[in-house]
Amino acid sequence: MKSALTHTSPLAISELRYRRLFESARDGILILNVDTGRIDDANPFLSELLNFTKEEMIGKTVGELSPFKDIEPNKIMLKRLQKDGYVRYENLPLETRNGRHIAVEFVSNVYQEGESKVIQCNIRDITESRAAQIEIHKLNTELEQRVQNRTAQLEEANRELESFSYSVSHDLRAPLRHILAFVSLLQKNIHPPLSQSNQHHLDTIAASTQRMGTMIDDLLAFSRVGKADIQMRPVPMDALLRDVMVDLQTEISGRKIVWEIQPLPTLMGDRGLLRLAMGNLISNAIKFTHHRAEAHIRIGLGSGEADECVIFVSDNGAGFDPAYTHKLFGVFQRLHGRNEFEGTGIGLANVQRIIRRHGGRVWAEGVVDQGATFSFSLPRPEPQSL
Amino acid sequence: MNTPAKNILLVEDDPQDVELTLMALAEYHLANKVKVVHDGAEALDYLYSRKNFTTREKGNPLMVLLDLKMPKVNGLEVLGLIKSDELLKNIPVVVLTSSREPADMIECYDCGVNAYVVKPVDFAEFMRVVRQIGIFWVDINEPTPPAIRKSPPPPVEEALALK
Repeated sequence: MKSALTHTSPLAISELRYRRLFESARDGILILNVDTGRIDDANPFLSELLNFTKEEMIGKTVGELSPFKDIEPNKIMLKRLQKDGYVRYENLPLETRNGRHIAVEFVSNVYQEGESKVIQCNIRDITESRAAQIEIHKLNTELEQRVQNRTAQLEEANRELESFSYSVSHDLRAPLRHILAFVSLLQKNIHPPLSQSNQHHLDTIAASTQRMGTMIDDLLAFSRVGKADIQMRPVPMDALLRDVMVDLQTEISGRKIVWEIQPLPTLMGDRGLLRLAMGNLISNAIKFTHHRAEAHIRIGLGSGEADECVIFVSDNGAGFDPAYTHKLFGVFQRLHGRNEFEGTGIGLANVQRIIRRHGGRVWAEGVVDQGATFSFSLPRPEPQSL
Repeated sequence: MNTPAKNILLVEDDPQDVELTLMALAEYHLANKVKVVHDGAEALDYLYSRKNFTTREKGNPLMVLLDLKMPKVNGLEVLGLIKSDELLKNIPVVVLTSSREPADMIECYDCGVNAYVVKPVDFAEFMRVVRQIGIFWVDINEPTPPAIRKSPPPPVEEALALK
């Protein structure tokens, strides 16, 4: 066998090589006579695919094989092949002789073969890839539906949350008002006057109720900050800072504060919300330096990424333990006792919510008794938007 | 002839708030002039002198003190009906509510409310505010002359449906 092959002519070797390709191909291949369209040759894969023996196929036209009974008439296909040089069906559904329904890609080409021409048809089984495509399409549609459903659920949850905060504002405040009212009526009308300790109990009831009222108000304001529409406009931060200082007049008066304020740029944002955020940060700086004979408060531009502007507010006040930095921005989280510094602990939560809604970030650095620096970033505005 | 009822219609479902409001008005000796109803539907029955109020003294109240969140017909609906009725629209309506919600305030002003007052949490402040409302609308403000109804008022359900 080996010696037979070594003595074979180069042409025969080439013939053998391509015959092997033809025999082992995982696509169906037909060779047709260019004039009659009748099958000259068919490869084993096609036999297997259609359940026809090679002998059954040879001499027939493609249309005479039952799986291709719906294909265009032989003459027309030959004409098209002569005119265009090829015929192509991207997705041809077939029924094989043993009843399998498959889909094939069917491509016929006319090739020059020495002096004459032949037609070669490549028939690729695309049943599985079609099924996969259909499955992908189905999954995509389902996914879209799921996203829609989930969005509707979220919107519903949001509405529920809104009506929840609405009823908090009404239904929880009323009993608080009533407790306060009847406690003060009691205090006013009681005879004989209460003992000192009983008076203290009543005062405690009143103070706690008042405090709960403030917390409810703060929580409502916080939820409003989350709901409010953001009106993005150029905001000159210098002018905003002047407004904030006017807002804080009562907190500043009577205090010795050394201000160091650097020029600030114009940024894009919601003026009302940014004023609230700046106000909170500066109010905190004033609050947490109240035990200093001379408070130092610096406001200026910090360093950050290229696409953001960073503004910081730093003070020489009570500072905080860096171990608890992550708690600073939580709702009603406080790092100092209420008898030291007043407030419910909503301010920084508001600041964070506002800055995040603007696409920025907030962070803090501090050391106990050595002051704190609060910074926030806002996206650096495009020059043409200002 | 219609003679003005010269009273205040207090529309409030919460008994504690009724008690406190009456207490505040009593300090200015206005409490005996207050007619209390407990929801919006009852308020409309009173204003239209029907159901339990067919025999009431004729005329519109000097003012309506209106809570917003109430069972059956809420305050905003009452306000809307008062302000769209030819014979009722001139009654001063003061909304007295716990709600600081901007949406509520905007809707009330859009409906033509005469004043919007948030119930202060602090009791002394609450007393002061209610007293001042009473003083202003009963003593200082001049009410419109009495008007006469030509056609019968629509029933509540129909009027609400019209909205």
